[in-house]
Amino acid sequence: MAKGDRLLDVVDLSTHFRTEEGILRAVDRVSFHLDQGETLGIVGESGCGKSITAKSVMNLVPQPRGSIVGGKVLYHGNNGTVDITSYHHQSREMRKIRGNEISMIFQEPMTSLNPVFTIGDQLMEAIMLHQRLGRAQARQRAAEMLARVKISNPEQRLDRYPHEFSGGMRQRAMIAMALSCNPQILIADEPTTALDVTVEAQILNLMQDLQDEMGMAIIMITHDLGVIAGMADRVLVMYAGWGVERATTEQVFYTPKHPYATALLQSIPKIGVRKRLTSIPGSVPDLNNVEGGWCYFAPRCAEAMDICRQKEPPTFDDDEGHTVKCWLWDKQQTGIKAG
Amino acid sequence: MRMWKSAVVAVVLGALLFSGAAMAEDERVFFGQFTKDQIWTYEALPSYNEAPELAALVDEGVLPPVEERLPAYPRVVKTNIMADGIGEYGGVWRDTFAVPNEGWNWAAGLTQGWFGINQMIQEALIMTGPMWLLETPDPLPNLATDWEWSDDGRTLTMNLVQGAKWSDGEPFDADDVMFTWERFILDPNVPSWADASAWVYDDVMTELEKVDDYTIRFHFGTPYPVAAFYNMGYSDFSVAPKHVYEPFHPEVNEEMDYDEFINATPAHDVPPVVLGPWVPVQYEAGQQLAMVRNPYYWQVDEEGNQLPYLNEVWFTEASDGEARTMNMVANTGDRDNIENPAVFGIVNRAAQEPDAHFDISFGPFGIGYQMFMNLSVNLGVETDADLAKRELFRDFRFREAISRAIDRDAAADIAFPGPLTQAWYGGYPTGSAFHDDDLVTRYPFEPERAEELLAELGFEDTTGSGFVNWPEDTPLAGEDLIIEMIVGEDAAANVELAEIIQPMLRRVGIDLRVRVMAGTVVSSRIDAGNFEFTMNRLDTAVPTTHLGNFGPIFDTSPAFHQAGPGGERELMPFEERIRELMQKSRVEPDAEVQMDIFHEVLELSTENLYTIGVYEVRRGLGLNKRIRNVQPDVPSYMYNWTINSIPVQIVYVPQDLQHETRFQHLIPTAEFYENRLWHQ
Amino acid sequence: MLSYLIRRILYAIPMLLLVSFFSFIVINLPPGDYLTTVQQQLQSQAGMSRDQAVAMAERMRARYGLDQPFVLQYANWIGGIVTRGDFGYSFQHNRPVSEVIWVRLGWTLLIAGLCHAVSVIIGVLIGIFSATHKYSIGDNIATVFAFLGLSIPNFFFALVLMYLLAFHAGVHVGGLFSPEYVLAPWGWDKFVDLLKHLWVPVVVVGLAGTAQNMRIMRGNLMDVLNRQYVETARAKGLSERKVIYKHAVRNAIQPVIMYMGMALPFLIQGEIIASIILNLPTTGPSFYYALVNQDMYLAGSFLMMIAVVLVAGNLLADFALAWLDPRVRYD
Repeated sequence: MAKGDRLLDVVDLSTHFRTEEGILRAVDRVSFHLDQGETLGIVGESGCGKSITAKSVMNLVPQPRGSIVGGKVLYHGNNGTVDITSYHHQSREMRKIRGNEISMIFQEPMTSLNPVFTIGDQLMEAIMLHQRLGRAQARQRAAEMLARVKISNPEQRLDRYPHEFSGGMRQRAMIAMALSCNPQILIADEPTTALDVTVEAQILNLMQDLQDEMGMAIIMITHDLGVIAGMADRVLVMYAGWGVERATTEQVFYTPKHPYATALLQSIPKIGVRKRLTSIPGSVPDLNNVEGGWCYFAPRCAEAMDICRQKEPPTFDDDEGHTVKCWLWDKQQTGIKAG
Repeated sequence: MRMWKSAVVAVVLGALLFSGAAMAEDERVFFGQFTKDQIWTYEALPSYNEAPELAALVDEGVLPPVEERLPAYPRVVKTNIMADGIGEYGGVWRDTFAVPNEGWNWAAGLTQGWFGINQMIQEALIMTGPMWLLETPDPLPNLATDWEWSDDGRTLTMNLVQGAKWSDGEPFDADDVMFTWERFILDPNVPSWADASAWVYDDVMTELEKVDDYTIRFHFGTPYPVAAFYNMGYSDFSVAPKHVYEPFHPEVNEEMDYDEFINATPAHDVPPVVLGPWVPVQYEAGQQLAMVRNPYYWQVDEEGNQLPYLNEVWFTEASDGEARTMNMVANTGDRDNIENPAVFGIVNRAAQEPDAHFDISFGPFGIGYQMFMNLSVNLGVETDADLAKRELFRDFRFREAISRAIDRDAAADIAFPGPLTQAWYGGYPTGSAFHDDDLVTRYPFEPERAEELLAELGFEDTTGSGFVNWPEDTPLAGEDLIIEMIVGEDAAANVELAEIIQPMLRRVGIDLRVRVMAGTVVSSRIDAGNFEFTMNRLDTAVPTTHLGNFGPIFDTSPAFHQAGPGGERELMPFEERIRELMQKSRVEPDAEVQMDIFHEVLELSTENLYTIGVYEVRRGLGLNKRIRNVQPDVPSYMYNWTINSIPVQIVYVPQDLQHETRFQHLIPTAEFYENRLWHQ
Repeated sequence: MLSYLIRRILYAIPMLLLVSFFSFIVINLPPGDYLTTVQQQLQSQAGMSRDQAVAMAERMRARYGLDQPFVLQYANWIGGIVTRGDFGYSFQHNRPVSEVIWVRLGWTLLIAGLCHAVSVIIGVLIGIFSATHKYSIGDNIATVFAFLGLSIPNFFFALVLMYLLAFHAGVHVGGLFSPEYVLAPWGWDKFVDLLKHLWVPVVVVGLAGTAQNMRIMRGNLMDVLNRQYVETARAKGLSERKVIYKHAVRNAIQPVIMYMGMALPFLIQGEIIASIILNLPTTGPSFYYALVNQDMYLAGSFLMMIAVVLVAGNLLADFALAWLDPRVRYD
């Protein structure tokens, strides 16, 4: 496969949870794609569904409450195209993909690693499982990976326990583990949120270096627009389970279309400008048992129109790959902002 | 409240009990029917038989033939006392015990576990167990076959059975008796059951003389001390084998000390040397004791069959006596003594199941529950109040008031409804051979009379508290009449009875405070005379052997009227008479006169309300249906426990019902006794 | 680690001395002594009258050394233990204490060990099933069972079981063997007979333990399954079975293992009441009767043993924790 080839097509993905209060539509008809070697950022505030979207791609939705109820996740892998949603989450096919062709790293590096096993054990586990190597070879490869993520004394470090590493080192080890089988896609769910700023920069740089070396695509989930700006080629903005805007990073930063995206950008403090921080009034709607049929952002939107409160906005595409789910961009409705 | 609950339970259980007739269906009576000769004699028979296992060993040459093993004049047990007649050889008796076996040296005061084990291996000079069969109770010959008093009554000559042998083949003779007398009973360093002090009559120590190999002679310091017979029985004079223990006695062997003497034959050292019907051959501490027939047992039945009939006895060791009951119900044990009212109901129901393996027969009334009042003005009296109470108790009118306040029928019914309990008015339990209904004076339930008597004594409710108050001229003037009754917590029936009595006394104005405490504490306080009332269970129906329970024969008896520290005691006139009678009984050889003596004691005791009897109980005997030759009316305890009362060597099981034996290969022959510590 | 171990052991010694001293005091607190029990026995079993029994008990008092001052008795006893390993004499059994205990120790360890093994294995397995099938019918049944097991006192359960077996099924209960097999040589029949009896105490005594382990395991595992590293393990592509047993259970089972160390004293006590009811030849009933009868050296020795085992058990639990959880270290 060459750089630029289509790797992942997510079409109208819907993931719901059964709760005591009803059905929670965590991910509601979200679509996006991912190409070889590129970095897609998924951004939004807590609870918007970005993590679940990522887990749905891996078919790792928390059971038995959650399930993928609609849409497709088409993965164009080495063995042809498969629809991940068609597999049972514990099936052998799915397990061959996870950790092998699609890997994931998580937010809290301390709790992401099992405290009772050594780093080496945990690294070698995936290697031996997917690559059928013997112990000695797997150990060698594990040491190589640790070296690659710039951990010194990798041989000795293999026999240490997670609690003996610092936060940054643990995250590196997680990355090593995720990349040990040369995956096509690396999903990073807020990998630096729990780290100091300086360490954060190191980790992000490392990820970029590795991407250049190994050529995998990255889905970067974050609420931090700064990370998006630094790492992502394209961005998906999510709100209340919807994908409300999808564009290249430049497009989103310089010409945002969705009022939510605009508001997010405005709430970032700018160096040299001393003014009161603008926050978005109101709060995210309770998605339990929401019947739909209106725009979830409308209550907080400065530019909300009547139709926003009566009908759910469709997704408008401007043929440059910049999509937005907002009535403001319906030529019939406004006529103003078209084009 | 409790009475209500108990009443409901009583009705339910009573209905269940009456609905099934689990009483013995066999109506034959063996109680008090025979003379001594009708029970057994000592004679030679024309021919003898033995168990097939022993015959096999004789053929192999490891045992001498039966004629040589038996004495010249073995004891012949008469068929009269056999409920089912001549028995069949074979089978097993399965039993349970719950006290650890301390070793085989019974003469040194060690127990082999009680529960019948002791009675199965020990033999004494005379035997009391089967006395319940006699018309006139009198000690039965055992190892001593007959005896004669000298004219002045100071000498008793006894003949021993001739030619009997211990289980290892060594002869039994007067030397064994003398050894037991000198080295066990007389030796103060050995804790034998009866020690030298029991043999002192009129301040003179008894002497024992060996006349010849089979004759001994007692020399007493007073004429006809018949109480001495009761020192010649089970435990008190169970004969020890001299050839086994002599090498261990420190005065014979300087290297030994008394500890080694007493523990010369520890429990695991089997088989020991015994004279009883079975020999222990295997013992696993905490688990089981197995016994096989003694090849040298010295008794036969009328047809010349060497006893016992049963091949083996297995005693499973448990930590609690209740296990015996469970075993009987589950058909893994062959008998149980049932005397706990709490268990009556459930066991009875189990016995009535169509496929039940056991039957229950109820013997004569043998247990009595009575109230003691402390009659001593010398012991445990610390204050004027104490003295006032004692003097009140000593006033007959007060005791009558108490007796009249108690509804005995109700008490018996609450304890257990039905014919197993009945009202009792003190003296001896009515199943006793010494009981005579005409001689018992009864002061039955009449609460108005009780109130009258209390008023006569000057007690009236002046304070309106509901209780009567002490009269003006007493140390406790004006106070409520409060009496403390102490009861041991482990005696559930006593505790229950105390609680039953309390409201009855309250009704007539007496505030009875019941204090339940540890049994050992109650015991200590009674020993010190430091109590007012207590509840007592009378376990014996035989006054001749337990004089202390019925009268002031010793300083420490009865428990409710002991002498003070210097021996002072103020006996009431009827007590003086009872003491006189008891002293007379100890030297009266004529059994008929003994009977008269104890009849008079009964009369005096009940007439004067020496104790306040409340109710009496029959003991039950549960027996596996396979077992034969146990008399239907045998008491589970009269002069001794069941095992000695039947006696057990005549028990048998029909062949088609016998259990497979397992230890016959351990029947002790000469080689089992070689290489033993004591074998020379 | 070694210095920690040595320190713990050294602390234990004065504590054990204190325990032994107080045990001795408490055993001797009730008025009377072993001979008071003997006196009562003589009256009931030997048919002695009260005065005879009192007299006989007096004669035995000197022989047992029970007429000496208390402190002297204690000093002799401790001295014997320390210098000769002699734990004194059991009055009831008329043999040295060490013999009495030793004979019963084998069965105690077997039965208690079996009960614990069964309760841990079954409890853990049911707990795992419960946690992984949360709120299903199977989980609900298991939870009901756990509550029953924890609330029914085991002696009551023993009584009911014995009653049903003896009175309704006609099965021999109590003890470890039917009377025919107790003294028989070992063989297949005897082994089968043993199994037929052994299941009762294992069920009775193991029930509460099983229920407890099940609850602990279920709770812990439910907790652990929510942890991030479990999700990481799944994200690596591991089979569900491996995720649960290798990653989750290994973490969730720690308290169960630690608890096993603390449960060591039960090996000596052996569930006393159930043992008495079921008539097992273990140390538990001996201990109880030693206390009741004031057989003081036997009772004192048992108490000492329990104290020692408790200390050892605690130590073992601490070491187990360190072994299981690499985050824990002692210095």
